[in-house]
Amino acid sequence: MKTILFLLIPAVSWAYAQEAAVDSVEASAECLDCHEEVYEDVLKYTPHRHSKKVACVDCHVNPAEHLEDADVGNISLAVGKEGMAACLKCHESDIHEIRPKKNQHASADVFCEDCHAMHRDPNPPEPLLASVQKKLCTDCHTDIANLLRKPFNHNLGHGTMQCSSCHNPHGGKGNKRYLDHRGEEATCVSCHTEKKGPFVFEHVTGVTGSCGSCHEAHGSSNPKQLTRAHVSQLCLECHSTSPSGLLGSQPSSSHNLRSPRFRECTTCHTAIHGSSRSPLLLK
Amino acid sequence: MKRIALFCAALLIGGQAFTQDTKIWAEIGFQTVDLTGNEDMYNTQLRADDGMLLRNLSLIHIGSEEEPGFLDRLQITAHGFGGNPHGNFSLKANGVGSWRFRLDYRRFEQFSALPGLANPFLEDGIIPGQHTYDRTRQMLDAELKLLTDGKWRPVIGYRWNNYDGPGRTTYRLGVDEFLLDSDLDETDSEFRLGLEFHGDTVQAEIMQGWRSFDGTENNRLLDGQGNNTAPYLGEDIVLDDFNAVRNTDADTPTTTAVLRAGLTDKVELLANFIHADAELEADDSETYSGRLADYIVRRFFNGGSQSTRARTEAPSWRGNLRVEADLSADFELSFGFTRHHRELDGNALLTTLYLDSVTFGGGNPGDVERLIDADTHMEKEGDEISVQLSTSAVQNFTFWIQAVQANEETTLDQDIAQMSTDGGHEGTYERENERLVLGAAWRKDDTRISLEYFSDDADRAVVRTDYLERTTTRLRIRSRLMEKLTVSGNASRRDSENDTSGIMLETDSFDMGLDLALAVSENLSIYAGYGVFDFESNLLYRDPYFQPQTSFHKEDGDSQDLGFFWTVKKFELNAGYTAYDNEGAVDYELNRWHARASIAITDNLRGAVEAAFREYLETNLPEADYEADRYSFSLSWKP
Repeated sequence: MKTILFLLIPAVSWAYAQEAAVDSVEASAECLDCHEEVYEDVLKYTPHRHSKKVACVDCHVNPAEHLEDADVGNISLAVGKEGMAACLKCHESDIHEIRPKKNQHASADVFCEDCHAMHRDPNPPEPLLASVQKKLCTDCHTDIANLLRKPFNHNLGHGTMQCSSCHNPHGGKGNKRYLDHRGEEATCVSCHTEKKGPFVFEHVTGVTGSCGSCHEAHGSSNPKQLTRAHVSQLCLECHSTSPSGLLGSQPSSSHNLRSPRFRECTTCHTAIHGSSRSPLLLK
Repeated sequence: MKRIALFCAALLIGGQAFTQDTKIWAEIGFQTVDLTGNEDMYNTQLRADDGMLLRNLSLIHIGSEEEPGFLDRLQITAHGFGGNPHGNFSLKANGVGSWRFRLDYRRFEQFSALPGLANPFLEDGIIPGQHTYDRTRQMLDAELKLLTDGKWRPVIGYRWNNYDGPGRTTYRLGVDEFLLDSDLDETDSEFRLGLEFHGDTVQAEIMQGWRSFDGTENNRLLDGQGNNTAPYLGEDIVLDDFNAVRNTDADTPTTTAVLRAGLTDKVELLANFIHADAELEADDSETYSGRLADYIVRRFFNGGSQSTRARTEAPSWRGNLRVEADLSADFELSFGFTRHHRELDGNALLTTLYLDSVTFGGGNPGDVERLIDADTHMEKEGDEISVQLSTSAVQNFTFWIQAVQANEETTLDQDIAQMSTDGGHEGTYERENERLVLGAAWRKDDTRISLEYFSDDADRAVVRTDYLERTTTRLRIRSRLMEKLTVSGNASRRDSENDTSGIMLETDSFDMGLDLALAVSENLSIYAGYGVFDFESNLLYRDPYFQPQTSFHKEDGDSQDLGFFWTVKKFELNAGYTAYDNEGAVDYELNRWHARASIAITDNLRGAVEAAFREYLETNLPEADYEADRYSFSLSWKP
């Protein structure tokens, strides 16, 4: 059934096919007289040329002056807020992703051209990015670069996980920095689906805190990307009844921490993220 | 993969199969990995292996401008697989203003076998620990959007996430824990259907999704000796046989609505609402035999069984409203309000049968059944209000100020059987946090400097690691000098504390990074980087014997990067060295070298050889050390 559906999708879509528009080429005809190589090698293959019908003059300013004097200096690209306005003519219609005007990056004077390059070869690694994504992000976020160097991490840059697997570079502030995974409680469980439950017996960390209460998402010196080197240390920081009135029960004195059996709480409490089978999160 | 191939074939046939313009870049090769030391630790951290390499496959096909057909543009990219532990395949296609389709497939090999984790026998030299797995996660997401002439655009999508493979785990049974073999197969999938609206001043989307989770885990006994090698009350505890089957099913209908409306030329309204209604059912059965003891029923027994029937309902929703206004050309104001709500109602009926049991004193022989009928209830609701003003009225400068007030209320109404937070923890827990953000950025030509300050002030803690006060300061600099030298740097400090008696939480972290990239000539560029990372945390707690203790955690790391890119005619060489050295709770070094040389064989073909060395040295746990030397060759073809 699914195979039929997959084959049916292109067939149904065919019905919506319409006449191609070649107006971007026409609008750029005078540019192509001299710059045909750029068009044939690069621009022709980008999403801009074809589906968006973007002409050279949509991004480059002063075309009339340039036609009179071929000096490259007088045909500049709009940059900063002006450049962003040019991009937003088309990209503002994406209601999920593109919120550049009020987002964290624009607030810090980081604009489209700081990450995107229109004339870059549209082939690998990622179309229209000025560089490899991990490098682009860590050039500014060097604190994150330090974390990514640690031995336990998500192995970014190996073709699967990228910064944008979790973060929305065009999103707004606060939680909008993360991709909106359509109602997931946390970005992490959109991949780690087995951790999301809902469980009859939930580990309360997942209720009042977040995955980040115990794990360091970008990289850690500790196995499982934990925030502490020893599991018992991580657990006991919360599981102590002093002072009263806080969540976190005290383990019974049968937990003999002098024995290696009890130094790793998760050796027994294996279902630490939540369980529908064991009130003590044992399975 | 079969479905992907079928779909590609369908697209190609429909799109007149590359009769028009197509651009391809492919790089394939082979790698070998030479490992010494702890192979498991290497595989946990990276897991590159001997095998074929697909460094890159990229294909772009564009339709004819003169005779437009079904397919306007098709882009296929793929990386990894083979010797790479990860792989991805993506396909993007669109018709001429009529439809847009994307498909992403990702595959991860997930391995974990650590010497120090869940390992009560590490001091006896037995590695790895008892919790290991060798599993694969595969994820697929496909979406088709029909770009109709009208304002309404239908969207149809499908997501699939599968996680399966073998592992080892432990199970506590009575007074001992035993090593089990585990086979896991879990699939989470979602079919979604939606409609977008694109008006002149109003854009909206409503999407309905149907999620389904289906998981099965089979556990079998691997070692019946148990971790407790000493007799319990004079009896040897041994498990002879154990089998468990655990089934989990969950259904979650999800509704998402997004609205964006231009109220005036200067004022815009953004809103979104998400509702998810999760229902989970768990159904388990397990049987076992051996000589066992249980301190809850205070009996020895010769085997038994346990069955579980559990059901959980968890409706949740989140609504967000935001107004953004341009007060003038240089001043922007935004106001946001978010409310989220989640409930959880759980019921579990656990039936345990102890066969041929006798009390610890040797009396009352017979079978004993124990029943737990647990009901749990939880409710969480939170609000967040934020206001932000930003201005670029001063030339080259941008300033912003943001105030956020967030409060959250969690109510736990627990059955007595809910023992994981026993001791009268039911009740309502509230916490309010106020955040102030001040920021400034200066930008001129190719130089940008930004400074941000965050201050968080919470009224109370809910768990012991919650802060009451937290401040963060961050400085970022990036500059390009004389078109040749790029300097980027970052320094940030974060301090948090909770000075409540009995907690005295204090954490301080500082990190700094500086990177330089210099284009020495047209053919040669070099780069260098240095970073430090310093973290300290102190917290008081009581251990299981109620003795006061201090939890102290420290990391003191520094990193160095050095490398170059060199091109001479048909020859390219790049090489680099990265080192990360950490002194603290875990004292280790991670050193990496790599070099890649390539040469143009023809105009379209390049050959490359690559060597990469990785060395991990852990001072206090030398059993974890390894050295991995990876060699590869590849051919890249770019007509």
